Amino acid sequence: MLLLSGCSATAHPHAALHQVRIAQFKFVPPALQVAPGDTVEWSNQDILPHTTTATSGHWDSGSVAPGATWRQVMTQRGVESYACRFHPTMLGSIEVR
Amino acid sequence: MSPIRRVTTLFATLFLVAAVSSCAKKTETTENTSATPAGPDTSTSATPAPATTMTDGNIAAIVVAANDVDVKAGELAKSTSKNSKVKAFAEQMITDHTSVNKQASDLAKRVNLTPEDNEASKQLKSNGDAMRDTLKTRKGAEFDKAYIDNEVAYHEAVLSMIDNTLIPGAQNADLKSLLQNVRPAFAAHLEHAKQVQQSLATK
Repeated sequence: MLLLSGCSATAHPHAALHQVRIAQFKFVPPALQVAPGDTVEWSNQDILPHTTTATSGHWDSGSVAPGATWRQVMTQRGVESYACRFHPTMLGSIEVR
Repeated sequence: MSPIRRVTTLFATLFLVAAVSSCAKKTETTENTSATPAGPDTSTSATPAPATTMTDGNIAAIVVAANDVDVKAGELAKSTSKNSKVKAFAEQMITDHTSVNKQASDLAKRVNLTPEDNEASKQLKSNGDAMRDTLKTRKGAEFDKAYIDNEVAYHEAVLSMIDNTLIPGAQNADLKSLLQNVRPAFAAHLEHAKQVQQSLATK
């Protein structure tokens, strides 16, 4: 199940929170390894809106405004690549294992 | 070289940088703030003039003009192109450059900075008009190629101007910070434009 921010009640009690900064039109770090049930939080530190959008369609944040954050609980094992829909040269990946 | 290629190259690499060069030189003669001896005439070269000759008002006006030019080009492409990648790129240029201009305008008000129209900003506008007039004579794939080729050259030229003239020349810390924060957007736009350019070339 995919959940948006504020839905941490469904996460595993020992689940971790991982941070990805969106800065200088890059995802930092660009690649991340997490455990099932962990949450990834993207924070937009740029001056323009971005999205975090899974290539598979697994998640799509919609527009994340400058200064805003967006969270996703990662449940499905495997490697998921993602990009910013607005700026398609911005790429990242999440490995759930 | 085709006519449209000549226009895009002329617009993006000659007019843009030469305009800034020219503006800076004129200021240099009146303010004499640079210790660098006068060199050969570089008004048609890609070498930007010394940054210290630009005022913050000059820089603010150039930023606004540069963004306006790309917004207007994007609006033309959005209404003309039938290619989904070109249209998506154009729409993003409209969105991003409009936002940057709003931030520049808000900043100018906040720090009481009045954009000072100058030769560079005026040339940016007039040559942007000329570029769009030329694009309006193109249709279909020819239009798409001309628009995207220009976007690649334009963003390369603006990046050069940001790095060599605008950021080094900005005196106000907030203006300098805005330029530094805007730079990655132009770099991302350039890569996006190259991506679309490549997709057009392989069709």
